[in-house]
Amino acid sequence: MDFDFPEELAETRKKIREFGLRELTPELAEKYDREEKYPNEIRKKAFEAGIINYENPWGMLMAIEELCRIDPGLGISATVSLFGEEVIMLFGTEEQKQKYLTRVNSGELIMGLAVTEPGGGSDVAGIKTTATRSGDKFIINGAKMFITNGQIADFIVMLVRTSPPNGKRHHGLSTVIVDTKAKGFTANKLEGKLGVRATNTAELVLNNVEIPVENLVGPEGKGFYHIMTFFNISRVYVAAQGLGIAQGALDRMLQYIKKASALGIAEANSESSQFILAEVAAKVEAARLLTYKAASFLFQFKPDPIITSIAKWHAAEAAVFAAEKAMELTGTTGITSDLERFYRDAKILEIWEGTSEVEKLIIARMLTKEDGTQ
Amino acid sequence: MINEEYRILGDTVKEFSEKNLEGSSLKIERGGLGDDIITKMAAQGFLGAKIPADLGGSGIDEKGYLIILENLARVSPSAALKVLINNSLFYPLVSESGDTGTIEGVAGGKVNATVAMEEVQEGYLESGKLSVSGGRLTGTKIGVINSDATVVVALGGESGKELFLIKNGISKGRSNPSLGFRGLTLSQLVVDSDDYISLGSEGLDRMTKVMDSLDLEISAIAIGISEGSLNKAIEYTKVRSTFEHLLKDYEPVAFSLAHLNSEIEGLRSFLFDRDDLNAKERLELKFLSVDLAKRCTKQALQSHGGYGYLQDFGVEKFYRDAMALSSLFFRRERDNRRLAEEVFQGKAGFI
Repeated sequence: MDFDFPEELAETRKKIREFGLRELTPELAEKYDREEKYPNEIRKKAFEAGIINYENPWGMLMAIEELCRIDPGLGISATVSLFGEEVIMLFGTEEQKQKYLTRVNSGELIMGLAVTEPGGGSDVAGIKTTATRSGDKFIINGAKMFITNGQIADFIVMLVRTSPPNGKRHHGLSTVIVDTKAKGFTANKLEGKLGVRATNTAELVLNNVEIPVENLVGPEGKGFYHIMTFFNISRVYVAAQGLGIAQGALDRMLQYIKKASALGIAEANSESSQFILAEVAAKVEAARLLTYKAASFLFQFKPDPIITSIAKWHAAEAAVFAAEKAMELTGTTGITSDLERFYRDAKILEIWEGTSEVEKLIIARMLTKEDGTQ
Repeated sequence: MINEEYRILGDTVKEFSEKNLEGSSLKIERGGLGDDIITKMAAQGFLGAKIPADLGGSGIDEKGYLIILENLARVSPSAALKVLINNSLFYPLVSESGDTGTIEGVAGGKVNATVAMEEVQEGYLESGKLSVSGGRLTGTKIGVINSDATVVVALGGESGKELFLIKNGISKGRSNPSLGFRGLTLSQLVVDSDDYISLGSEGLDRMTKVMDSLDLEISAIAIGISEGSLNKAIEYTKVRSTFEHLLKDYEPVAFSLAHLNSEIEGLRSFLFDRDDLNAKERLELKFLSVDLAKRCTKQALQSHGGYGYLQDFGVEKFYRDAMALSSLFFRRERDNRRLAEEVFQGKAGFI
């Protein structure tokens, strides 16, 4: 077992880091957070620089990690424009891949994935948005909530109900591609978020939105399975977000200790401070190993849902823990620096792509199932 | 005051908060407390709660004052902090200045005052300086909360330890990103004043003592923050369903919120049911209350799921304010050492 990345990936990481430090400046990070604005220019530059390259999954993972380490809001925004593409990649037709994925992967288009509904939260099978067949079209009615890229996406992969549940709630669900310029489609930007304010989040309203039947992704009625498969992929990338944020907080703790020590503030490097630093470093390292382990399984096409959920849960918790401890260590310095943004940004990781509670249930239920207890 | 009077006071502040602060919660977070709310708080006597009546204050006792802080913080931690700045920071530092006019103005809400505390807030690396030259006091203070103030108490002079009451020539400098207490502004403060009073050369010691004396006040605000956030979570989980059941019906949700509620009740009892808390117990309360506020607000936000992340639901502000309270008023090294020395009855925890 070798814990070192090959030289080629180490080079990729270096290139990403250099790009991030050059483009994700503190001024831009502060501005986009304050204005709650999506940094489209940074996204475009990331594509131009080859930072976003879906053909290199490890590179993609590193891009998320390294850019979030510099600034979570900008880092996530720059790397999330392809959010949901795995659904088309795994279950879509060749025509759909050509029409949509080629242009998303080149940076020309932005996409999103819409599952959550107002009042719905974690209960994926409980969605109420319907797609009713009418000749060669589906007519969609309903609403979606907390949709990343919702207002800026060119198209959205959406989970809809195409037939009644017939006793099993997760039956009768399908995934479809919805053009955001379609008549009856409205996206309302959600403002006043605690953190990741540079990312675009919206509520979608669908009022008799018509889509051609060829926009159905995969077999009708298999939508729940498509989305669960997708979550087993996306959660690895969320773990990378957590790892990046946790490492970013640790970086700033170290910078603070160095600076304070140089100024003769002995307390900054006291034994109790060192203990806090060590605790954070241990959490970060554990998040790193778990994230890479989950990614390793995924990139070899044998994802392990237990490891994926453990990685996502732990990395999210590590990000929140590291940001908290960094704030506590740095006191007033932290509150007047970008650390306060890390603190606000980190919390979303315990909520999106499956709350920490959902991850724990997945882990426990799969373990007991494997064990034959259930 | 007797117990019945404390109960009535608590109900009065609660009613005031619900009537005047709850509905304006978003407005306060986005645009500050505003003159209207300040006027109403002054009319209730909150702004000069602890300041003696002959100086325009309410002259309330310690327990009554803590009840005010707690019940304001349940709805608006910014409003509670405003009261704390006036009564527990500004007034103790200027009480012997003889400037009764300014004190009366602060107590009555006519004068907006603050204290630049950077030198005594552990962790601050880039302290600003104020220098005296040619009859003017000039310089910049960093990370000042309630920086819209027109009257400021700050350290400066050649030693950097002289205390000044500055009454004109104050303007806001570069704003800092504001994690919490957004009802009050956090920014640099630029001073170019010819109207200031020296309050003595032992200013750093006095300011440190004032900070050390805030244990119960910080506890009351932290408990209020915990209560405010937990109440939101309890109400939300009673009506919000997921997987066809109310959130409150799920063990992890109900158990965690119930445990936090027990901790709040324990600390409230610790704070309000005893009249003879010693220095060690006061400090213990602060440690426990600030820690609880951070845990409670995190769980309250989590219980709201994605909605908790939105300002509209009024729970994320508690999450920010709990950490901001800790950053501004919990001095990790100093407070830990104070506690260790109380426990060991002597020098301890210094290696």
